[in-house]
Amino acid sequence: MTLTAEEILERLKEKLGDAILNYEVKEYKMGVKRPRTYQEIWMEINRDAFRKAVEAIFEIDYPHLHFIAGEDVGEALTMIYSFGVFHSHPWGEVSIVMKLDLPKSNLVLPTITDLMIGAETNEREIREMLGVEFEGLKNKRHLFLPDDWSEGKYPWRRDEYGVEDMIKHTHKSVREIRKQRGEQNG
Amino acid sequence: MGKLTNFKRSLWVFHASGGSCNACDIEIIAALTPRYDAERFGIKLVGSPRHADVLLVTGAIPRDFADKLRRIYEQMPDPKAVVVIGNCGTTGGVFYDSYNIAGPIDEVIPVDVYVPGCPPRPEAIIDGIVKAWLKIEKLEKELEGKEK
Amino acid sequence: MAKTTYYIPVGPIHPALKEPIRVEAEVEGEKIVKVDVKRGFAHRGIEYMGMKRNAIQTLYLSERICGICSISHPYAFVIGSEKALGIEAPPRAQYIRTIIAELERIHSHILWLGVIAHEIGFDPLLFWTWKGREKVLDILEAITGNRINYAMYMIGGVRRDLKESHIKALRDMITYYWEFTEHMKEVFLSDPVYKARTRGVAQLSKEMALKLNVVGPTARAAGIRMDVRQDIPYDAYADMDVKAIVPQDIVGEARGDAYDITMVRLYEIEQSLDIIEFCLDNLPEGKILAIPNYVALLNKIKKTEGEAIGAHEAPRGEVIHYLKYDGTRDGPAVWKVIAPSYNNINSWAPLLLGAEVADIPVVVAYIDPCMCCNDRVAVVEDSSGRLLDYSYLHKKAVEKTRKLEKELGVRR
Repeated sequence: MTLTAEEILERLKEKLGDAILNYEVKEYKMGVKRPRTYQEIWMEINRDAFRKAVEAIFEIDYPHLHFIAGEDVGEALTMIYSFGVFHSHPWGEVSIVMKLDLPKSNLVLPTITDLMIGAETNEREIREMLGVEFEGLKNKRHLFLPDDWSEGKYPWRRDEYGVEDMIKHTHKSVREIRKQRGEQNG
Repeated sequence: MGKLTNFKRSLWVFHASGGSCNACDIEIIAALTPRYDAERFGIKLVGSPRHADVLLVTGAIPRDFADKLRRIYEQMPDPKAVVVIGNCGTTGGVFYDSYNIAGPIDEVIPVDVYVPGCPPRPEAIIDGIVKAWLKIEKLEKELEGKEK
Repeated sequence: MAKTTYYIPVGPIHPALKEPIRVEAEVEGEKIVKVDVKRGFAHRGIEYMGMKRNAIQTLYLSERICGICSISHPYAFVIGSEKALGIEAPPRAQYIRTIIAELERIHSHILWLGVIAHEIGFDPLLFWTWKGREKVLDILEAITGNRINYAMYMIGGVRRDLKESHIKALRDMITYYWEFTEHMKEVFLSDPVYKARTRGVAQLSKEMALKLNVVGPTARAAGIRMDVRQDIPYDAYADMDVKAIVPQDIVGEARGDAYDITMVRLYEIEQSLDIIEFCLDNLPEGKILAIPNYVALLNKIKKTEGEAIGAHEAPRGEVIHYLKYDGTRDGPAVWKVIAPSYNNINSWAPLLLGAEVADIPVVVAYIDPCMCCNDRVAVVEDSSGRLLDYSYLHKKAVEKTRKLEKELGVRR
């Protein structure tokens, strides 16, 4: 039995109440000869309710974790979690995209690896790319970055912890020639 | 380049893939399979650099991998030749301005033959290996001369 | 005799295929007791580079995430971008995109069948399957101009049209592959040694598959009916009812082992042929690009704010791109890529625990890992001073196959 996006949203509202700061149900039309639609839920939640929100999703249906992403927005990091529920039903999968702001002074989130072992990969990646700590994550070794990676450098950060100074300008000679000629970099 | 003067030896090739996108790598395998059949010339892919005459390298070489590539190169017996397959190994290709790239390959180990293309066709790869073969023959003659 | 554990590093270099990765296994006799997987030998920082470039550059960068799925990443990228920017591709372009994606699935699945045959020691089978694979590469070359890395897709359409001659060649190809797949099914599924060598190897239960978050054929072999083409359809897939291929529909039960995954992949080749045929029969007329001028396209991107998820069912499973355009740059402000192997490699550690050394190549190959070379050169020696490299592991795998052949009385 599958639920529609509206029904899922109702259930989440029941569980989370005020913790949902903002929400939107997006609808996309697909197909040429027989156009049909599917829906996605996009919501912003309070960071304190994160664990509760994830548990609420797991109660609705055992989800498939699409991705965990993050964006550096200056004072805070916006974390983006996307879960797919009711996959394995034709036209039935509903993506639940959850966003929450983490102030840079307190970059800690509870892990979800106890609910889904497979999330370890995602959490380890976010940890090394953005510097978010996951409470309860067991394996904290580097995943994609080399083991001798310098501490406190996070490739996706746009502040002083970023990697601007580590960039190898592969085609630097071309850039230099352009500079000599007085051309703009293009 | 001259012509191959003899087929005295068969050429054993080792393939190291350093952060390539796989395209070159599957074309290397395709070069060995029946349509192109490089094995009829005695060109054979081997599992260890210690047995190889020619090293094929693909990819943009991530930082972590540069040291491993050097070690592979040092394990190979002389005379040896290095063939770079693909654009990203030759110049960096689309993988420029990254924090985790140590390539192009000629900044890590000495390279003899470049085969550009994204990916190069199997014919081009075989052609590259034959060019390396010519170089090895030349090196061998020099080595023989020294012994005399 | 005291029990000694040996340490076997598998990786990061090996001739067969794909990207470098390292599996570190501790073994007692033949049994694996501890496993650790180290990835990242192929980490090029692609997402970082993409967030610095414009959308068209990033599209072709995404093509080079993986050369085998070289249409899957652009597909997810254009679907995500079109959803975020509110562009709709013309009907003809949508159908052409689907055809190209299915052609890629055919070549990728045949490639995998060859690889698994090689891993268990059937090299003639590797050569035979790859010979059959050349046909679809020829078609791809005729349509797109390159055997791999096709540069075919564009945000809002495709860059090259299908000609009458292409359609005829495609129909010939479909006939060819119906026959070839029938033959492959016979060779792979009825062979007693292949069955003995893969039944029960790399077995993943349904619960475990869900928990490990695996996708694509790996999940389907375990009996989960998930397929992006069915769950959240897009392009021409939305016009037909694609059904996920699961072993329980074919033989009545799903065991989730290497044999089941072979079956899933073989039947998916046939499914792809059906899909291509449907697309050719219903191919709409019309233009192929929503915004033919790329400067205008980039300008539109620069002015549009939006974010979306693009998903595509690649040969190995679900590819997901999250894209955010912030209205100030002509490229994505945030770009997150999840490739199928990202999730599927999760299954290695639990599957290898308790398995035999001779099964390592099968377990490693069965998800069809898509990092360039699940590559292995052992530089470390074990405690007895012996050098263990991938050729040793491969030899063990082949020995086991030969032993089975003898026991089953198969003569070759």
